[in-house]
Amino acid sequence: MKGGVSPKTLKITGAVLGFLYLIYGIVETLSWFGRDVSLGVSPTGDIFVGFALLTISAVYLTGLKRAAEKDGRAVAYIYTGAILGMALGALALLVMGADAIEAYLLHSEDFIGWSPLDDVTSYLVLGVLSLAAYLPVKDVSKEPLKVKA
Amino acid sequence: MEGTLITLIGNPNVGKTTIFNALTGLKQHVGNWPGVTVEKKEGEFEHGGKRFHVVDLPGVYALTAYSIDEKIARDFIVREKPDLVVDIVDASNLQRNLYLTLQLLEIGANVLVALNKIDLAEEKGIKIDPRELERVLGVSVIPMVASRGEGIKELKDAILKNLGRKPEPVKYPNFEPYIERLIRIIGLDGRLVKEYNPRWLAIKLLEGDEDAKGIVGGSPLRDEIMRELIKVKKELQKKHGDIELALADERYGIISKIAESAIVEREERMTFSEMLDEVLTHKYLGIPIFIGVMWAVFKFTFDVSAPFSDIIDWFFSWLGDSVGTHISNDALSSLLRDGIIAGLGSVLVFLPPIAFLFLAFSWLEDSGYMARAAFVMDRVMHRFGLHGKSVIPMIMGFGCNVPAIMATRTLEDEKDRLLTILVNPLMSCSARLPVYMLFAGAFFAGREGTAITSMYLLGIGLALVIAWLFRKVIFKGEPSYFIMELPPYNRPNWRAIIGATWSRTEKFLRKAGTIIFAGVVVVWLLSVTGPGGYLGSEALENGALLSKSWVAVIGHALQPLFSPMGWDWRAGVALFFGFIAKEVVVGTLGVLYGVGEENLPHVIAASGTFTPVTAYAFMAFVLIYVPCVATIGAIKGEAGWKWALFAVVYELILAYIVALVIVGIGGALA
Amino acid sequence: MVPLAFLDEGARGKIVRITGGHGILARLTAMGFGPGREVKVVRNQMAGPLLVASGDAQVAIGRGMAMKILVEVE
Repeated sequence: MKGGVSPKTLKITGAVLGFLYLIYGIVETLSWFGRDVSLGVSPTGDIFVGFALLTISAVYLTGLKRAAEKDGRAVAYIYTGAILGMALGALALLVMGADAIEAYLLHSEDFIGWSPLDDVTSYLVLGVLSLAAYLPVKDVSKEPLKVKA
Repeated sequence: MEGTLITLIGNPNVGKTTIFNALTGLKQHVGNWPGVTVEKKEGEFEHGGKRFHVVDLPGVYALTAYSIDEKIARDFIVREKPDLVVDIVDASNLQRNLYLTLQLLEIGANVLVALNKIDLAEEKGIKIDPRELERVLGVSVIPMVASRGEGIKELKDAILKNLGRKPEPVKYPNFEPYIERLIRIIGLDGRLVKEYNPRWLAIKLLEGDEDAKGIVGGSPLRDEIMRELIKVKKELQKKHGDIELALADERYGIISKIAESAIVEREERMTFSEMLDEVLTHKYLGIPIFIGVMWAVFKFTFDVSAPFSDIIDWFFSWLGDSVGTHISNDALSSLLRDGIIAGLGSVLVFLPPIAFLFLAFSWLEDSGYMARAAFVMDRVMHRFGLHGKSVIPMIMGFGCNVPAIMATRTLEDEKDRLLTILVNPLMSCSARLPVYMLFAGAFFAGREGTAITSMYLLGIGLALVIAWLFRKVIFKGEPSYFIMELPPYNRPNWRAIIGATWSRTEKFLRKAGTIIFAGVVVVWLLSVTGPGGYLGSEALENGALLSKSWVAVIGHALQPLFSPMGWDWRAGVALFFGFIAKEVVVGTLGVLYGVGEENLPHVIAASGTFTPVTAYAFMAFVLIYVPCVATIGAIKGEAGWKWALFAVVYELILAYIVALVIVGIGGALA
Repeated sequence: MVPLAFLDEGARGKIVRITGGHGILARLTAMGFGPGREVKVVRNQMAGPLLVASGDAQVAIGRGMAMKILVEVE
């Protein structure tokens, strides 16, 4: 149905990452309302982080749904979800880099006692995990489509 | 103009700018086409001992006279008769691109085809044989991947080799006898033949083109030509119906044949672009993704640029201190330290976030996402009488309204464009952020984020409501039709992105260097002098002394106007000077309260001149009232004085009303 | 003959007629969407613009305009 990637792979990545993003999306949203639940990393308290994570979760889960319906376009959702997830992770890395400059180079007052671990956020970790979803589907576009919807 | 004149033409999004930059390097300059606000880029290069002058034409799909861009491109080729026209063709989109190629050949231009993006075509499963394309078109074809610099040298060689050629015109079998008949008569006028290609004139006359009619109208043979035209048209109409349509059909028929023989391989694949589009333009996912992307852009803008702003801040305070200790003349040292250095510093700390914002936007534009954003947002924008393409300038307005207003040029319809320009200043630009931060920090401690976000939302809400209102009252009618090409997604081309970022950032720098700078110096001057003469630099630290200055005179004159909102004279002064640039509001308050920006929130909160309600009203007023001088200048440049003045007046009135409402509601709740 | 706006996602058709001004016609034709062209509806969400592909080109077309493009469904 779609070049190279088995439906099973799509379903598994869609389900696992979809639910991970869902859980952390809920955790981040709760933290904005003042309820801090820490699952490995401390939440940011930024409502938009919650929003972005829930959106990516929806992308992955749509992929899962499409794969379950044997729709050839399922791969598009896993692929795009992975790209969005990784982009968000890359953003977290950039922020960490900027904070490192503040702390180590400029010795800013606000960053006394800062450690890189402070910037390890849910979306950084999930971005790294999205790499696992990206690798199997990254070359799909190089292969001819066998069935076109 | 010296050297050989060549010109670049092509559809939008074919990589024309990349090729232009690769050809000319840094030797280029940007101006406007005479009479219109369309950018004209020119440059120079040397190759094989010859000098070439390159003119970049606007991106167009065809050469009709229906849009400004197309008219400019067409007039240039017809009137200036460049020695060579480099037609840049997107290999991944061959058929549509060849439409323009055919029209260029009709004019009789010496065409050279640069077949760009062959990598993208191959990714799509399309393989083109350039030699075959060369044979069927009758002009040289240079395959290239300009984004990676492949084929640039070959293109230069081909330019050199192809000078002085005259390609064969394309034949339109169903129309040839009729075209011939017209050519015969046009050919009798020696002047017309010398200035124009008679074949092109004949075709354009058949299409009912107004310009062509105008050209022929100046000929002594005009009556004969027109008589023959009417006869020919009648016969053709009987055979084909609408002639313009039939000709378009004929061109596409020829294009299909050309493409068929040139494309040697084609397989259907779900491309990278199709996969992304499946999700990014999704009915329910599209808008949340768009909002998420915008949040990421702002996170990048403000968080990642922060250390750079700190460096600039640190540099200016160091500079100010060292100037203060080394210059003994009070007036001079105060002018340098409190006026020039403090003023420039307070503006230049915004350089990093603005540059980062433009970097992010340029990247999103270059990648192709912006076109998708316009697509998903069209539904929302349409409801408020705006056009889908209005989204891009509106979002850019969060960075700086000046480039945002310039970006409205992508809107073809004049009403849509004016409307987008007029509401643009309501999009809260980064210059207003320091004002919010100051007041949110002073009066809404612990909930700064919410207070600041509410300002942005207020701005968006007002922009949409005002757009809706203006559409109902001033620009009656529906937004124009929405058609927009969705180019395939690109891997980022950093050269192009950095170039676009720089040219936008440079506009900000120029504004900082001129208008804002002058404004800050004026504030300083009016603060240290008064009706009684020079007060000395202590005026800036001593409130009693300051109240004798010109600034105080202005503030007290303005106070009655602002007393319904409960603001004192200092607020009036700050707003007065904020007209120069909204960044100045904070700087002015700093001067008036006699403290640096660091301690300003505490001092203002403690001074008792504002309550949370009046402070909130002040934030809203700063958001809405008159755009800064540079923005007014941009509106004037794009829409004329009348609209610039209109924008100033309506925003002042709106700001006043909103501030009064906030004070009223706040008072009732308290 | 039906307006393009009524086609479902994935449906293909041939443009027969474009009603509305000459400017629109010329514009669409130049972009590869003139009469006689085969088109495929990529996205039609029954609100907001449509995404339509013809050959290798893809354009977003507003719903209002898509009502004025008449197609023959294959």
